[in-house]
Amino acid sequence: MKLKRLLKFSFLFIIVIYQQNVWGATFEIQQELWPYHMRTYFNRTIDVFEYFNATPEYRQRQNYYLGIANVSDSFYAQSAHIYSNVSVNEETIIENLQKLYDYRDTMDFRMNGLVRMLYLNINKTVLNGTTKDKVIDALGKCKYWYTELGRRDTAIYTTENHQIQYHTSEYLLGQLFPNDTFTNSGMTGKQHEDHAAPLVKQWLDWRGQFGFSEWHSNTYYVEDIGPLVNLVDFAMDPEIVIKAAMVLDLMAFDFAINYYKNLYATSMGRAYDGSRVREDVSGYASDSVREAAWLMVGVGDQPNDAGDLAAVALATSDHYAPPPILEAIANNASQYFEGYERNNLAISEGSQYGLDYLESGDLMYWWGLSGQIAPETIEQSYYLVETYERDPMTAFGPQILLDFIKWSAFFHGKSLSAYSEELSAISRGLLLESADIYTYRTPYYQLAGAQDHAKGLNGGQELIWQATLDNQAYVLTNSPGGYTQELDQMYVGGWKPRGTFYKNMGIIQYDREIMPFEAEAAIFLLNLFMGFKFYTHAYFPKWAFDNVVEYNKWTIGKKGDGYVALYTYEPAFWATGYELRSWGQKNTYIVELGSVEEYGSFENFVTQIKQAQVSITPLSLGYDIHYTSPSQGAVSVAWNGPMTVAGINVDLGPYDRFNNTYCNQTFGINITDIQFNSTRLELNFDNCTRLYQP
Amino acid sequence: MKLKIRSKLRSAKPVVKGTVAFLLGLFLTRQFVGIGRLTSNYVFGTIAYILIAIAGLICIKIMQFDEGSSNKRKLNKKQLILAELCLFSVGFIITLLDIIFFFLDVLIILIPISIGIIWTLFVYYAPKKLNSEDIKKILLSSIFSLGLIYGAGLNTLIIPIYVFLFFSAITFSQLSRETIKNFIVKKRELAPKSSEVERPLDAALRLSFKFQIITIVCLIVPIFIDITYPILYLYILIPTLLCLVWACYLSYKGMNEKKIFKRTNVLLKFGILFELLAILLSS
Repeated sequence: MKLKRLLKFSFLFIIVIYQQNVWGATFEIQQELWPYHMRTYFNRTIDVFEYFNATPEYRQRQNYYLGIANVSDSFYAQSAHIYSNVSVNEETIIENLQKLYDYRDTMDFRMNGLVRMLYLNINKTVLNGTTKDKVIDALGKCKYWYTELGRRDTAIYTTENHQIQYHTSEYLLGQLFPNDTFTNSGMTGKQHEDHAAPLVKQWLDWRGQFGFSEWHSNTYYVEDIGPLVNLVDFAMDPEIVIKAAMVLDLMAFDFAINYYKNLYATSMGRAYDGSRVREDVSGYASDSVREAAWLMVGVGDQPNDAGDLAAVALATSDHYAPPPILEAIANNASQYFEGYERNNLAISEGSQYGLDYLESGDLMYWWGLSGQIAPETIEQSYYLVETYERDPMTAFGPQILLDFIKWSAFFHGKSLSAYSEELSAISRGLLLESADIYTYRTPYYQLAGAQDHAKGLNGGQELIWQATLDNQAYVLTNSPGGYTQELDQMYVGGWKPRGTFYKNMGIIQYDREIMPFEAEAAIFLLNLFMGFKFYTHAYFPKWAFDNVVEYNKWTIGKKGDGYVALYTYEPAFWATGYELRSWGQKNTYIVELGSVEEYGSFENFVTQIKQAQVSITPLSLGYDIHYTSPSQGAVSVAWNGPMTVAGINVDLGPYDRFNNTYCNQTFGINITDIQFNSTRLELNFDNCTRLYQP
Repeated sequence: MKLKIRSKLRSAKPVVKGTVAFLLGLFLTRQFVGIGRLTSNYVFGTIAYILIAIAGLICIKIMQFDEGSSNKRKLNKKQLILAELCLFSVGFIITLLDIIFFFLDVLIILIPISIGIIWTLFVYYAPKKLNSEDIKKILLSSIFSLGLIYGAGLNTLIIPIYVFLFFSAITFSQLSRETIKNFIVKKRELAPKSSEVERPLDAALRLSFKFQIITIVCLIVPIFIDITYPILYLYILIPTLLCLVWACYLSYKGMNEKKIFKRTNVLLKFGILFELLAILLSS
């Protein structure tokens, strides 16, 4: 164990030294406070509540959350203090300014919190002179986009959530200080506003047309909601206000149809182990979006403390509320639901939808999909990094990786694009492209997964599938080894399976092709230094279930009236009380869900599962699987080709943007039409209209 | 004792080289399988080939066995045959089990069968046409090079043409080296080993030269066929060809000096090393 730690430390040390030798950072801070002339009058005529009022339930939740935020000392909760004319914790605010002064990553999250405080403080004196001056000083000297040269930073600007954070801050601060010159850029506020406005609109249009790059992210939706509420509340451009509100509506719709028993129980483009893995009953794992989701549509547990920008922004917003139809859907969808949903373009579809791959054009759409080193974008990505002197750690990863790719391409006698194609297991694997999400829900269980998504490729932080009985008893599988967060995420990212799902059952196959020698060697070394990950495993927390039965290769669990059975083809063993591990990177899992309604009792479910015939033949790549499901009949699927259930091909995508009982939207169309019980919400990004018909 | 262990290890070199070639063969055709299949092939295939390669070495011992020796030696010959059969059978069974349990193409079993048939036929029938020293050289070279075919074949029976070219290159380069190896003098005068029938020196050099030419051709042709990384292959091919061409030159010059054999042998040694590296990088 000590040796492992030493190896890991040595490896990281080498990376850091290599990084420092190339990217030694220097910071200079001007001592004088930034001089400013803040605008204090905004004559907004936009009526966001033209067609509807917030529901009484929503107002109640707002008031409740406001109440707990007003007694919280957390940084973001200070906005609530200002809103409610309650004194702020100045120390908390001041200590969060250092990130802005240091130009460190995630300074944008603080930015939007500070922007909200300043706007809410207009014509108020809650934020006093000294603290307010310091806040404005930090913002006036800050950096808002990678195109600003000057001082170096360690900020990641270009994931989907960071993009809207920075664009929103730049736009709203430009609006607030139109005539003042921002120190780093040398631009006036008005220039910043003009620079950011089209970027904000572009981001909003992309969401409206293609969905969310970081689809269903229980971590990063929070970082989107905060700035979006800021835009709705404070932007002067009606187009931005309406579109930001519509994007928030889409997120609320997302929560309404995917939350299950207080858990955001769905496939995700970006997630962390910490939000899913609980070692035992005393452990903690939660969705960062829980507060915002509860506020927006009343799903999930009522929060006990106020901590995030999204929920505080919603609670203190006089201009945004989700249309009532969305909360009604959330209440209705908690029973039975079957939905098909697609987020994101495939990178090959760029030209079809008018998107290019240029730094001067739409490169940021693809970077939002983690497409920095895809064959179509890698040349422009390198151009961006070199032209704007970006620390590659903020774009790809360590400098050593950048150089490794460059020199390997050179020695292979190939262009960067051609070499990236050789490394497609990683370069395309990291792409969060074209995710077709299937969700099936009954009152007893929910199964959600990304259908046939990038099988065999190496992903960063995806949570491909999840079978949920309640907010503690859920099952998922993974093949770890993803290129993410210090390479120590075990249940998200990694080698993506061929996941195929139909109603209450799914078949998940893990295997992959072999990469070029140097890539395999690099992965091997990474595994060696950062922890051996040559296995697949299932998260199956025995402690969370009422009863767990093991039979042959099946592990069968019961929680309340819901049942889940997981079949593992390769020999498996319990590495811990919640981890069922199998050696090797090739494996097949079968998951089948059931309930008292379908089987009468858990014992009968177990009996039926025991009798289920399973025939799995390993192929040179993947498997050929024939499974007689007790509920669905004969199921067949292999690594390639269709999945058939009772002789009928299952639709594995590509899906429409939405296809469920509430909404049918062709992918790529800019109009979302949500209907329920004779009420209708139309979100039209082409006309910029948010129409609600009660 | 130390000398005995050293000589035993030295005699096992063909097995080591054959195993390296086997691993290389698996790597060359990795695009036909996934990580799961490749892993099981690496594990079980390596064990199987090591056993088959040792069986091949024992074949040579059997073939070189002197019938006119004492009773004690006759017993050893029977034991040798038994050992060879056992080792080969175990290797064969491991391959068979690999095929059964991991659902490989059943026709893959033809590979060890073919190797077994070839070696058996060689050992028992080739002495009628060739002298034992030549048979020994062919067998030693084949233990090395057949590993490539075995490895490649475990992944796919549709073995790419360049694998066969690499196989030929390894075979003939090794044969070229084997042909002149016995003429290398360490500390004594230039002379063939006492009980072996050897070619005349100039004939050996001529034969070695022909083998080197074939090797060079077999290494150059893959550049024009669909190997994955021709540029990377070319980088290492250059020093490989330098060694081989220089060895060719020395062989062609055919100077009857003891130094020539040593130098040629060293060049061929490095040539084979670079050759393996080039093959690795080609894919």
